Amino acid sequence: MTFRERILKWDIIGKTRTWFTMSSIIIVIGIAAMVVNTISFGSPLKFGIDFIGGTLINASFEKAPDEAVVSSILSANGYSNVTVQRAGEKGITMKVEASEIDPAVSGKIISDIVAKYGAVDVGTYEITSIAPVIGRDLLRRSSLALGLSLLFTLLYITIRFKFSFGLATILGMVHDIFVALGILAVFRVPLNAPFVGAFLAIITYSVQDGVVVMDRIREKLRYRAKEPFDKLANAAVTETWMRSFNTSFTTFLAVLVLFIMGGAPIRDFSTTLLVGIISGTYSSIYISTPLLVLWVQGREKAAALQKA
Amino acid sequence: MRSKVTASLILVIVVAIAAGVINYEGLIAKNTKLIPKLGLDLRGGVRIVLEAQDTESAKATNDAIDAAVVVIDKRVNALGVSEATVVREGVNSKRIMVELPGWTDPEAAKGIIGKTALLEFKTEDGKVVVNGSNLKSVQAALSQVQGSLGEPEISFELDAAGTTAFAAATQANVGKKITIYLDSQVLMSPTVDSAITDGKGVISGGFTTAEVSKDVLLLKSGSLPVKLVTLSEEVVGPSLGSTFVRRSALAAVIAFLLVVIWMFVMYRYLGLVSGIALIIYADILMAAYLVLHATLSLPAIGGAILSIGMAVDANCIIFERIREELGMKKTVKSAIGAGFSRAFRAVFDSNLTVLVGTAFLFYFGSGTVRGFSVTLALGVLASMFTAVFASHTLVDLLLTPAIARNSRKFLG
Repeated sequence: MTFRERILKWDIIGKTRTWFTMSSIIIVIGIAAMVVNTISFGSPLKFGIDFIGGTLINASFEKAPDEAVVSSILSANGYSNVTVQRAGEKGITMKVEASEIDPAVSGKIISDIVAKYGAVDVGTYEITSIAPVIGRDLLRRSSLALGLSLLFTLLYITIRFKFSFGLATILGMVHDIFVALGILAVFRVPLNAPFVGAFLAIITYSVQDGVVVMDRIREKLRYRAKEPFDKLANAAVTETWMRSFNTSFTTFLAVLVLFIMGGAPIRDFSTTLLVGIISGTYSSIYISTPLLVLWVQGREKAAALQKA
Repeated sequence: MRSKVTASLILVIVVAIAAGVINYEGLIAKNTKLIPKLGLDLRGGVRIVLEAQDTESAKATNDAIDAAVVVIDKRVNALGVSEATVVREGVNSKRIMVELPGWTDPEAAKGIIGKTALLEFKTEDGKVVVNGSNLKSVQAALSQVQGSLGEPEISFELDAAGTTAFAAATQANVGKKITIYLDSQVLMSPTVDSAITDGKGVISGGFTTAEVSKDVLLLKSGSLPVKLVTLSEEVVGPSLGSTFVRRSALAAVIAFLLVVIWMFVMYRYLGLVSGIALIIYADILMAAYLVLHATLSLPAIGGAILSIGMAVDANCIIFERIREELGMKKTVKSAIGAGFSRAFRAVFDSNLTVLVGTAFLFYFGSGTVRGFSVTLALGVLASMFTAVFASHTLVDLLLTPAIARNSRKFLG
């Protein structure tokens, strides 16, 4: 028996409890991490300066700067809540909290260090200085965009399929959101503006993947004889399993290459994507479809009771 | 059937060639109309976001903010930054975003952009007699006066109203001082010898050439009608972005090869078809970016890579379907026909769901989110086109009788 033939024999829907338990454990760990983070750091996720404001400077100088000396230069200028870290051969990363610095004067920090360690390499330096209000706006607008696009996705699937299909897909997506946020919370990955893009990508991917599985169930329903819905749904997911795997695997490959080669600027972004691709594929097969089965079976049972 | 294949084939070839020409013009011949637009995070530069604030003397009204945008635009252009953009962040937004691609000195930029540049001539009792709006012309000049010969100074000429007011004020204040302020800082404080009636004068007093040219630039572009505070500042060194662009281009090529290899392992002959379809896809997608001047930024590249996954997905759906149909002991030809037509609905619905989502993201999202939704939407459209026209046509075309007989071997 080939691998493909073996897949068709899998009882995915029959093991619903296993999949739900697995996902619950992952989500519970994520939520626990968020709670721990909230207690020890004050917020469930590690928001970067794009969301909470502050100043981040990455710069290389002619001479290798010393962390302690840079720290003392900064504190002499009145910035005490700073993190200073060596980066590369002659580079240094400085982070100043938003409460202490006005974006209007952030450049002054650099000039003081230039005086000590020689000219800054303008080819590779980076300054990001953001007022907290901008970060809050970004968070608010992105959440609004996200919420509305979820709502209209649900509407679209309801029109093209059925409300129950849409609901199952959206719940699968909510699952992916929690898994991704949980993992970001566990590893305390700093979230910045590009993360919004990565997050949207996860959600899109999840919907796209879910719709293909739902389409197969819809098609099977059309030719349905007397077979029970769980058997039908199981056949639909096993028949589309190989496609789901191949699609995710190829996308996974593409993002993995980006993860390895893209370097630091895109690392957190691609990590989020990798988690999302795995979770998105998994949820459309192992979460959304079983949920749909539970819903439809519940309805069918209720209908049978009414008849009796 | 054959004529339909020919029609699709012609369509695919025409589109692919047109896209190819656009890509050649934009990427290799560097046609200025088609040069790819890179976001600030990729090409380097300075981005500053300012917010208008109400003060006692000036409210941040819509008109005032629009006027401020015009003033800043003049100043930025005077700096000589090519392709600088100055925009309000939304129709009723109080924020103004300034982008200076390639610029590396944020302090110099802020010194020019956010300065109110309100020029005032005040008498000793604090009365404003003339202000910046009365200026007819301003120029950098060199002192002609013995003693300070050759020192940089600012020469100015007032308009008719200003000339009258200045004449009256100098007349009334002979022997007293008239102080000239720029943003409440004293530029000079000369004593009036006699009435000045021609409305001309110079401002001097030990300025450097750089100071003079900066102040002239500010005065020429007019003063800002509203107070602006800096909300954010981002500076990206130009080599950071270009390293990333080079790396991600290489990453895209490697990713493409890996995907094609995997598709070949999984679907053999059909996998190669998807390889060709992917090339056409990338060709069309790049051309669409160039024609629509989509800004390529970090999240946008994320959207693009994700759409590669979706382009492959359309092929996976179709090929799996063909396999299944073959499993039902259909002939290769009818299996392929049925595979494409049955898979089409899944491809259509999944892609359209994504399009609906991206439309909302675009409408409600801000900069980052918009960039992502544009590239993703273009990717989805391009992938639908290639899946429906290119893949199908290629499979039909390459389906020679010899292959049809050995279907199992060739289709994996």
